[in-house]
Parts: sequence; C-alpha cells; structure tokens
Amino acid sequence: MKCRKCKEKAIIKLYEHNLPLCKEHFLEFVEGRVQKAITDFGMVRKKERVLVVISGGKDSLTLAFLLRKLGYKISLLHIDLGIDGYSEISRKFCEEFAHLYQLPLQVISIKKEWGKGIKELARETYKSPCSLCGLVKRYYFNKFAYENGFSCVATGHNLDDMVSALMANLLGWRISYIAKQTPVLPEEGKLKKRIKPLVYLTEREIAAYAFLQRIPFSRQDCPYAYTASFLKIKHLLNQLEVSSPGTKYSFYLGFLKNKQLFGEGKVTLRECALCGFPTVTEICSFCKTFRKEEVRNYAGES
Amino acid sequence: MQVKVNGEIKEVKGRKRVGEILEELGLNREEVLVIKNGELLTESEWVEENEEIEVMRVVSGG
Ligand code: SF4
Ligand SMILES: [Zn+2]
Ligand SMILES: [Zn+2]
Repeated sequence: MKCRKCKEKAIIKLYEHNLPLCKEHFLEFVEGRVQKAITDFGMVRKKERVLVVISGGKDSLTLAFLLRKLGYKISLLHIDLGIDGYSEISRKFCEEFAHLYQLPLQVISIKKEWGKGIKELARETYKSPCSLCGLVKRYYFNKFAYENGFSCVATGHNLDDMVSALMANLLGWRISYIAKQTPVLPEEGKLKKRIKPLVYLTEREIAAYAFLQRIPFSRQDCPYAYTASFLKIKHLLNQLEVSSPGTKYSFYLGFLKNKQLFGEGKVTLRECALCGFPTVTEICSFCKTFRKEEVRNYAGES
Repeated sequence: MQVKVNGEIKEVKGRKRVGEILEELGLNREEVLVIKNGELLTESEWVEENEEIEVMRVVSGG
C-alpha cells in the first residue's frame, strides 16, 4: 500500500478518509487536524496561556506535545488521584514528559489535600470512584486555571470519547449532557473556557502519532476503567466503524450541525456560598462532598 | 508466527496478512496498532511464519 501523497510505503490507512499515508504525511495530517479543530471552533489564539491537563496516558500527553509543536503557550497540570498501584506510575510519566519537553508542570495530590485517595473518599461519600474522580478533576482544573491566570483548560478528549459520551447520553436521553459534548465550552464567570483540540482525531490516530513521535506514555488502565459502561459503547461504535468507515466522524459532525435541538446546554450559574466557584445550587457539589462540616455550619447560620 | 497482545504471546499459523491475523484473534482494526521491528504495519501487509509482531491496544477507559 502506497502513501496517497508521495507514493512512499504507507504505514497506516485512515479508513474514514480512505487515505493511506507514509510516516511523514501521517504526522502532517494529525497536526493539520488539530490546527483545523482549533481554527474551526475558535478554540484559542497563540498569545493565550493554555493549561493542559495530563493524566500520563497517550491522549493528554499527545495533546500537550501537539500544542507545543504548533506554537501554543502551555503549562501542564496533573491530578494525582492517590489510587495505589496506578497513580504513582501515571505521575511518573507526567513528570518524565514535562522534563523531556521542558514544560512547567504542577501536581495536585488528592492524598495531600484530603488525607486519602479517590477510592477511600468515594467509599466515604457513597459515590462511585469515577463520579467522584470526575467531580474532583473538573473542580481543580478550573480552580487552578482561574487562580493562575490561564485563559482556558485543554483536555485530551478525542473523537471516540465524544461519540461514546454522545451515544451514552442519547441512550439515557440526558439532554443537558448531550448539549455539552461540544469542542468548546465558553468561559462563564469564574468558569474558565474548556477546549478539546483532539476532537477530529480517533484514538487509533492519536496512539499512532504518539508511537511515531516516541512520546513515552503510560499504557496502564485505571483499575476502575472497566466499570465504565462507556467502554462497551466505544467497542460498539468501533464495530459500526469497521462495517461503515466514517460513522463516528459523521455522527459527531451531524451532532454539531444539529446541537441546537438539545438547547444551549445553558443553566444559570451562581457562586458557591462556601468556595465562590460557579454552581447551579447554593453550595457546589465539591463543597457538599468534601466540606461537610462547613456545609453544616453554614446551614446552621442561615 | 508469534503475536504479542498486551504482553501475552499468541501463536498464529502460516503466512498471513495483518488484517487476517487481527480477524483470527478477534481484534477490531480500529482499536489496535500493529508493530513489527519498531514500525507500524497497515492491514494489507504480509507477516511471514518466522516473524514476530506486536499488537498495541489503543482504547483507553476513564
Ligand atoms: S476510570 Fe474512573 S476513577 Fe479512573 S481515572 Fe477514569 S474517571 Fe477516574
Ligand atoms: Zn507520503
Ligand atoms: Zn464550593
């Protein structure tokens, strides 16, 4: 199989575009897709400071690598979840990456902040590790970006993440979540802008890029990853993708064209009475979960 | 040939194309990369009986 652009030997075929490419043209393709997503959705300009949140896995590290390569001003943030046997390794990959590419990295350790890891905190708060993890990450990403003068938070969500989230939320008709599966969530008060520059790329394309650029990334899965029904939906969509290539991409583009059907996804935000960060309720879910004592005192006073 | 999948070695008989090997192992081409001697292989590439390849899974959870 030959590269469509130069007739050299192809190293990958992108079925959704019916496009075989050599190494050089594949790297160029991936970089072009990221730049196109940034431009199409007006994600960020070169003079803005971007906070890239990294987990140590291929998506977020490749995102950081690409933004740096394309000339964006980035800093890295990692949340150490305190999951034994997993978090140590993830953190090591993040530190190694930051060192290798000379990028500033901040680490927020959940164990340091709260005395225990996500698993123990989840048990105590009667939440699933993943829902607590999501809550904690969203809160700290935003807080850190807000307090340190970043214009936005960039995450490594890829096309597969977007379509599987879309599908999961469609199956449950969670309309307000469906509306949120966009490549950009604009800034609103103390809620910083959130961008997903990898939305035009599949997991396979990102993994291939990371492999070819020799980006060292962690291949281990979080021990809770398999509780995510998400993964089953990913597999299903990939089965559809093989029988009709381009399904994922057109599903997502179709959503973007029709997203107004699901409303603006807008809710009225106010500032949490305890921490001051945006929430729809009087006290935010983060404070409700972690600052029980203060919540009780607050309820007593008011 | 020997096929390494997630660190586990599997034996596949005969000379085959990458696409056929994936099918035999029940792997979806969207969810893997196939590597031989540090290089990526397309699904139409042949693998000889005496060669070794690695299958890297690309789907992440969480
Ligand atoms: S699998 Fe769940 S707990 Fe693990 S990193 Fe993902 S969201 Fe967090
Ligand atoms: Zn080429
Ligand atoms: Zn709060």
